[in-house]
Amino acid sequence: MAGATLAEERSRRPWLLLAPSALLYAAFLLVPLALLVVASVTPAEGPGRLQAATGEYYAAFATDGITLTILLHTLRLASLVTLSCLVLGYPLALFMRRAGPKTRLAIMLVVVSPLLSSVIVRNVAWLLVLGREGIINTGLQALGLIDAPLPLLYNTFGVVVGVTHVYLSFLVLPLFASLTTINPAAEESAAILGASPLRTFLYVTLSLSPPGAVAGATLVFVLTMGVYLTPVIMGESFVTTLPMVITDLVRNQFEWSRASAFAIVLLLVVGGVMAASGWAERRLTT
Amino acid sequence: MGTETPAVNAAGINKHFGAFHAVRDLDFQVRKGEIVSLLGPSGCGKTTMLRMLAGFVTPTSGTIAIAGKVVNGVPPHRRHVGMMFQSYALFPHMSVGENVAFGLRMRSVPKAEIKLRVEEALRAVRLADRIDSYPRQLSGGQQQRVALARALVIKPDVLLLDEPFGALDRELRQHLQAEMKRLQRQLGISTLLVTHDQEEVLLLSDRIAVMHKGRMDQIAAPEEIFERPATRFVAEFMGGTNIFEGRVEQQGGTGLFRIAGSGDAIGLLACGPFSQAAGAPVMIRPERVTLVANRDRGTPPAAAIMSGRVTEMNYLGSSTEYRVALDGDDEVEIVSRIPGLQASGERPRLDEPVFVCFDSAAVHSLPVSSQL
Ligand SMILES: Nc1ncnc2c1ncn2[C@@H]1O[C@H](COP(=O)(O)OP(=O)(O)OP(=O)(O)O)[C@@H](O)[C@H]1O
Ligand SMILES: [Mg+2]
Repeated sequence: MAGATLAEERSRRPWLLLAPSALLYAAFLLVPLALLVVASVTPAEGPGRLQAATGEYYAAFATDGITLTILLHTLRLASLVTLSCLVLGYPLALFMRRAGPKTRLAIMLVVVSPLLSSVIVRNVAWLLVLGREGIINTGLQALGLIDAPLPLLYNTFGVVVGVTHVYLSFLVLPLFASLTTINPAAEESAAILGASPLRTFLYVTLSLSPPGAVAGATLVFVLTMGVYLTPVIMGESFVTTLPMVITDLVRNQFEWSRASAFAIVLLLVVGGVMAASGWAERRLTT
Repeated sequence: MGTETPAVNAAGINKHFGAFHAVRDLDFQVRKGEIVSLLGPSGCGKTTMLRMLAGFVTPTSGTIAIAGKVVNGVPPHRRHVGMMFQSYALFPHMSVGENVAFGLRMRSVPKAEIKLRVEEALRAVRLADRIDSYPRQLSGGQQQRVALARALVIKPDVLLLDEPFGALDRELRQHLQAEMKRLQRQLGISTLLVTHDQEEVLLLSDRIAVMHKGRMDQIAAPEEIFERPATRFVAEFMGGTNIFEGRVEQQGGTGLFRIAGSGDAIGLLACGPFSQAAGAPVMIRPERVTLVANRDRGTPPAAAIMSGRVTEMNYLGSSTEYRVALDGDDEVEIVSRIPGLQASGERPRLDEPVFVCFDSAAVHSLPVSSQL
């Protein structure tokens, strides 16, 4: 009897714990999402427009060469940012694994610091570094290494730098966490079995890190798909991404329905990416 | 045989961690084909010594030679030693077969030969049918055997084992110990085993090196360590609980040992020719002490040396342990461990007066020790 009551209590309790956040998600995620779906199939004008659902905005997205190109650009930007986070993040995470607790904490703080500073301040700082008159260009010119300023800003490069700077922590922290789960004795085993440090790294350390890397890379990719302010400031009008188009449709053209449809497409693409990475992660860990 | 190069020759090994002196002046050899055990309490430097042989820890001073070659400064992957970790440390992303093949791949052994040798090694540990399993699909004991096969397949100059059976339950541990001894004999692999388990060490070792606070107190065959410990520490570590301080007095051709109790000294006749420095203790193993019940205040048997009263009785299954307070001084106790074979009628009971008997040859004299 007592056991049954306990079991009942057990089964009820988690749901109670879930209630506050569930309410929050319902109010601020599910409801707006539903409204977004409705808006995306509602004709912009015409009589009885609320009764006649339409797929015209989705069709427009799929057939319009420009929107497809922008989607591809957005995917390319997300890929480049993910790649640069991986290239920068791997050595960093590997170093953190070997470092003492103090150094580790210091690195973590530095990596997380962009998230703690205002996006405007951060981007203006980058303008001062990367601009035509920025310290890199003036420095290189002063040294006589270049004649004309390098195009570091208002192009994909500038945007990748700016976004990588903010999102690096989303890759480094999961990767570091997964590296710490590798048994150091496994690496020592490889060494004692005759593997040089390089081969130990390749066959053991690197081979055991993908779960964390995939999780981190997915986060960075998905976040970059939705990034807005940094491309606006660091890319100006030279780099266009899907979130910029959607914002423009809402703010300047009042095309709510079209914007909603495009937002849904973006959401589906992101969902697809996450599903693929979830599948990859399961493959890697089983 | 005596001239053969030893598998391991460690000479004058010291290791400091900062100001801490973890290993002091260690000298020992592992001869070809034998199992030497490093035995000692936690923190005495066993793992540190093992890791110096593997090349993961650099000795502060001293020379290590493996198979006749000095390996100081040689990194682990060029030492050709086998090592098994307490956590087994199998590669979780590789199958059993790939785990065992790893060392051979690193040595660029041809594929066909790798296949044969991996199969052979897995057959030796009776896991041939699990070649395609992954480590997480195996039990602890099976993982341990894979780790052993992985270490053995490269035919190392010496096999290093750090508490290889520590994580296993008793029954499995005994099974694997027997298995491991069989394999080691069969392959003639020189082995250095680290452990703090006295039972394990007696079962497996050809020689035992007892370590204490970074030093080696004694390195000798198990019987020697058990019966004739070189220091008081070794005696106590091997379960020799009867250690008496006292002094020897000459009496004719025999010595008389006086146990220094808290009160009056107790006479103990020790007929053996054991030399005694002043203040040096003697040890009598509990198994060598027998008790005869002194029920009707009869005459003592010929072997009786002391008399006393049973104060504690602990039944241990295969034997029974008695604590006897000696007559004359309640503070001085002697422990006797009597095999369960003795007829129950003759067994002393609690609080009963007894004669304490032992052969003078059972009395082993220990050196005066500065430690403890
Ligand atoms: N890297 C290190 N830095 C500082 N001190 C260390 C280091 N490695 C070991 N020590 C110290 O050296 C001493 C011996 O350690 P070691 O691991 O060799 O002991 P052990 O005999 O294997 O003990 P156990 O039976 O508990 O495994 C310990 O006091 C330990 O704290
Ligand atoms: Mg140890």
